Amino acid sequence: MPILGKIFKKAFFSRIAGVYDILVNFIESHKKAQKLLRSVINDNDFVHHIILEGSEMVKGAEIYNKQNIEEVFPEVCQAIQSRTVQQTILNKTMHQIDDMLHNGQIEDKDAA
Amino acid sequence: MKELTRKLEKYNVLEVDDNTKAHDRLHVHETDESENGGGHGHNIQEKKRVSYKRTQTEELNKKIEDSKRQTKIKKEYIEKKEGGINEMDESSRRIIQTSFSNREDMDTDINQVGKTTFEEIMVEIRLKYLLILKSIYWNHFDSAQMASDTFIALNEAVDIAIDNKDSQIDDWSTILKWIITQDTDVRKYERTV
Repeated sequence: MPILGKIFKKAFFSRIAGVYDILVNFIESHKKAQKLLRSVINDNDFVHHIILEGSEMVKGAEIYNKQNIEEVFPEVCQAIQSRTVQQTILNKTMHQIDDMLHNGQIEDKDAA
Repeated sequence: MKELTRKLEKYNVLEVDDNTKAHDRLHVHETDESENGGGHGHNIQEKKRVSYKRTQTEELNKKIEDSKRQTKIKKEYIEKKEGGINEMDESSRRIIQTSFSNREDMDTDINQVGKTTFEEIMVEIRLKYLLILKSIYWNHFDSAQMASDTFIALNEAVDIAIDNKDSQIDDWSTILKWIITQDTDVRKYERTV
């Protein structure tokens, strides 16, 4: 039974993590796109109309995220957030090492 | 005498108790008022925000309607060409007369308006927005901030939105469908965790 529980918990966690990942990226990307669109096109009326459409989508996602994920599974959210931070730090470090190798500051052996 | 002093003491004590109770009551009343006042202020702010948004949307819709009407009138004018202005009603004639300063401007502007309508501009900007969104998704995936399944789901939603670019953006409904079909099994076991 404990083994079943572990398998079950893992599957459950991965599904919730997937949904949370989708929601977070969806909201963040829409907000970024709205900023970029404002900076690219100066016509406020047309852009404002499209941004309102995007904001409605973001609002829907935020409400769903709050009601069904963050309030129901706060521990899962925290775990995913910390995992994302770890991933980001590792990526940044990897890029930095690549840059240093490219500039000749370190050798292949050190980079590996 | 002793009885009198006892009575006095009792009276004093009672008076003190009453005072403290009254003070407490007053304090409670004050805090209630402050709490209610704070909540009321917050509500007013929220209402103001909502009404401001509503008026903004109404203004925008009005502008859109106006521009649609102007485009329609200009199109009618193009179809009628010479002498067509005399057949128009007064408000339409005013729009044509105020839109163009001279005959040459009128012709060039009318030709341009005839080619690009309001809806076409909206569709173009919507498409631009969706393409920006798609590039952001790709960037996130490329920098390993997004899982592959997430990327597939979000990218598919944007693709569907691009296919339906003539109507309002509705990628959230596509994603919600995906989430719900994934979520149905999870919801059954919600209580066990």
